[in-house]
Amino acid sequence: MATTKTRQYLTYAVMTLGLTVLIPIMYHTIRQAQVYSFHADRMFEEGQFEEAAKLYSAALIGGLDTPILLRRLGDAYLSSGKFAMAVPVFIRLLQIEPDNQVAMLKLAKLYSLLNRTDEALVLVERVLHDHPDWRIALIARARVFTMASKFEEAIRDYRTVLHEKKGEIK
Amino acid sequence: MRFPLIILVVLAGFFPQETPLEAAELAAMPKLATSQSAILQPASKIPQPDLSAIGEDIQDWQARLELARLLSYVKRYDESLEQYRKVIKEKPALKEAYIEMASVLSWTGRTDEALALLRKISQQGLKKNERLALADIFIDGKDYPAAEALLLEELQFSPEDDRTRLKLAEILSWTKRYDDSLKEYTILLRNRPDDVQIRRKYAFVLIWSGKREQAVQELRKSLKE
Repeated sequence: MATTKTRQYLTYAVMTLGLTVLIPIMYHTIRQAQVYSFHADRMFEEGQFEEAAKLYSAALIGGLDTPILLRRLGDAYLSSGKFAMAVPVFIRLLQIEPDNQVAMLKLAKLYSLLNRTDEALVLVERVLHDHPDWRIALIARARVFTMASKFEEAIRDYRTVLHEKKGEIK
Repeated sequence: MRFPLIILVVLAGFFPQETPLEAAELAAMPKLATSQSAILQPASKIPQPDLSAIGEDIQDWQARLELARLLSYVKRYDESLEQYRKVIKEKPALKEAYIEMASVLSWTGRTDEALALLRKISQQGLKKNERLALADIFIDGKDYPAAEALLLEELQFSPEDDRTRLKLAEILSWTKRYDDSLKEYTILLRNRPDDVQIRRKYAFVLIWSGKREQAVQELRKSLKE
């Protein structure tokens, strides 16, 4: 016959075991979006962008609408070549962070990849309006000009970045 | 129908065997072409900017390489070459810069300079587009064995690449290795039985190799198609 002490220890042991099983299950159920996001981060870091995008989407549907998640989801779509899917993600990100210049340039890149070069130029011009000498934005504009077959304008931007005037090779 | 066919066969017999049979020559033939060959169409050369991670800094040499490509695309070759020189000076191990610069030199007829430039780089571990660009330069410089080696290497990776196989077939015919060339054409025609242009090229190689009866049959087939 077990003593009171033994019964007490047994009860503690059963409760501890129960909690170790229940807590992760409850966490997965209650904080499902965070779990998806956590797994998505791992996939993203391993370069499995399509899988990462699926998990980030699940996290987003689960209510985790944060700028970090949107950035990662947009990048995952971009890296897996799903450009049309990435567009609304960056648009949403810009609604949350309207001054996010990098997001603007990424959206511009997406537009130019989707042959929407006019929209791409509007975004790049907006970035350059605030930062006229930012070389990354100048190169982005040169690339959009190239995609839009505006070659002279693209050459001018590249030369500006390289501190060259026409005909002058530094 | 038989009369123009005979003229075509006779004309083909007069073609110097070393002459590359260009698509343009075939197109100029008496309105025989009824369909176009997809692999004879020139590949687009519009420069595709490197759309690498936005937000990260872009090195001068990367921007300069994109500028060099753009300048060559708009046919400002001298300016393009200047930019390639600068890129190579900054990144002496960047094979793509050598190959692209050699391509520009080759387009401007400076094939000797192009070939000299290519001797500076190792041909190991080239990417597909680099191998094919290099092969084109070797073809322009009439260094057919070097081009053949590259095309064969490429076909090991992409045996379904008919454009590359056609180049190989042509090189083999220009170097009078007709049987080898015909083998390649046979594979091409198995993949593209309705390609009239390739069938005509095949027929010309048959003529050069003395298989005139077979050539006539192939030309007839091409007229039917």
